[in-house]
Amino acid sequence: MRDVTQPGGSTSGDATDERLLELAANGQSQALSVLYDRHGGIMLGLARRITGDASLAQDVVQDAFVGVWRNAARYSPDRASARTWMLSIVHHRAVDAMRRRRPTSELPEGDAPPAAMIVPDVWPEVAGHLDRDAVAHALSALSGPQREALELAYFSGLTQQEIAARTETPLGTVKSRVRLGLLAMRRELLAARSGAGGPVADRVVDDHTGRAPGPAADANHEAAGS
Amino acid sequence: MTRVLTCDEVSELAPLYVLDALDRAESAEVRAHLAGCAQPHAEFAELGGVVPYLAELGEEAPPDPELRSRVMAAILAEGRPNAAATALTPTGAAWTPRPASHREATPVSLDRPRPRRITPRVGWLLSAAAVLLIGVLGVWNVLLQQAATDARQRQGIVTQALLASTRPDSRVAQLRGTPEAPGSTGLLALGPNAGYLVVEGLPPAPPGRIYQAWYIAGGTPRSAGLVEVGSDGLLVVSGLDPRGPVEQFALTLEPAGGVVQPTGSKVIAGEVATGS
Repeated sequence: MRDVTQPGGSTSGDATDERLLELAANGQSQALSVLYDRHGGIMLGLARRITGDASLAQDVVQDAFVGVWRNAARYSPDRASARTWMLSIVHHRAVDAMRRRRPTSELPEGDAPPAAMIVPDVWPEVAGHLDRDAVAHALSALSGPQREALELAYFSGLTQQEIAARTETPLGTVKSRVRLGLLAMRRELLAARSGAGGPVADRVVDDHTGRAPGPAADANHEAAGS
Repeated sequence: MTRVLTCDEVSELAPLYVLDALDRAESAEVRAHLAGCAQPHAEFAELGGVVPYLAELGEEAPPDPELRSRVMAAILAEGRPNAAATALTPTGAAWTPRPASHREATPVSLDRPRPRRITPRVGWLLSAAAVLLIGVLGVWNVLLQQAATDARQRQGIVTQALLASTRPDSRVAQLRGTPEAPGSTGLLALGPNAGYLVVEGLPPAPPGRIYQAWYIAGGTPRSAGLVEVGSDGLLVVSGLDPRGPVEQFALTLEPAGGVVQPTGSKVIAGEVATGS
C-alpha cells in the first residue's frame, strides 16, 4: 500500500475515495469529511427514501459514517468501490432502523455484525460512471409487478414476507419477481454499457466463471453494523 | 435455531439476500452456507452487481451542514479505531514497521535518517493497522474452498492450469521459492476466464498460521485469498480472479484468518509475463 502516514498526507479534494478510506484507516478522520462532502448527499437521500423520516435518516447516516470510520481498515478496494461500500452500509442501517422502528443507537445487537449487503462491484468502473438516466431507463424495462417488487425489496426495508403481505402475493411470486427484475435490469445495463464499448464484456465472462461473492460480502459485513 | 440450507435454497434466496430483504436469521443462514460451500454460486455476483445501480437511483439530499458537523463530532468522539491493534512482528527484514499509533508518534526529526525502505519491487510498506480478520468470512474463505484436495480434482485442475498457461492471452508467472521455502516452485496461470495456481514443495503452515496469496501491481499488494497446502506439499487452486493488473504474485505466511496487508516474508513469488 502507498505510504499513508506521510506528514501532511493528502486529504485534498483530488484524492480518490479509496485513498480517503485508506487515510481514514490510518487515523486521518478528516478524510471522512471529504467522503461526507462527496457522498453524504446520496447516502442521506437513500436513508430518507428507506425510512421516510428525515430525522431518523440523519441518525442512520451518522451511524453509517461512524461504521465507516471504525471499519475503514477492513475495506478492500478489490471487492467494491468505496462509494458502493458506504452506500451498502447506510442501506443496511436504514433497513435495520425500519425493522426496529426506533433509532439505530438502540440496536440490541450492539456491534454484532448484521446482514450486510456488500456485494462486489461486478463492474468496478460503476463508481463515477453511473448515468442515472441509464439506470432509470433500465428500470423502466421491467414489468410493473417486477419493478414494484424490486423497489419494495430495496427501498422499503420490508422483508420478503412483509412484501408478500403488502402486495397480497405469494412469497414464491415475490421471489420470482425480484429475481426476474434484477436479471432484467442487469441485461439492460449490460446492453447499455457494451454498446458504449466498455470493458463490460469481460465482466460478463468473469461472472460465469463463478466466483462466489457471498462470503466475500462478509469481509465488509461486520462494517455495516458496527 | 439456524437451519442448514441446501444450494438450491440458497440460490433461491440470492435475489433477496443481495437486496437485504431477508431477516437476520435468514441472512445468517445464507452466509453460513456460502462460507462452507464449494459451489461458486455465481448468481450472487450476477444479481448483486445490479445493487450499486439501485443505490444510485435515489435523490441526493441537499447539503446539510448541521448533519456534517454531527457526523464529524461523532467520529472524533469515537477516537482512533484499532489503536491497540497488535503490531505484528515481521518475519523478514524487507520492510519497516510503522509506529503503532500514528497520532501519538513524536514527529520525526528531519535530521534523523529515515529507516531505509526496500523499493516497492521487492517489498511493501507495513501499515500500522495490520488488522486481523480472524473469523471474518471473506474472499479468503472462498479460495480456501477451491484449494482442491481430492486427487482427481487436483489432476484436472493441474491440466487446466497447464493449458491456460499456454494461451497467448494468459498472464503467467513462474514462481520460485525464496529462502523461506527454497525447494518450492510453482505456476500461476491467469487465463481470460479462469485463473489457476499450482505450487509444490511448500512446507506445511505452522499451527496458527496460513498461507495467503497476493496479486501485486505498482508495488501494491492485493489479497488473492488464503490457501491450504496439502500434506504432500502440493497446492492446487482454481477460480483465481484478480480483476485488475497483476505484475507479480507471491505467497506469504500470515496469522490464521489472514490479513489486510502482508506482514510475513514472501515464501514463493514470481513476475507475471503476458503472452507466450
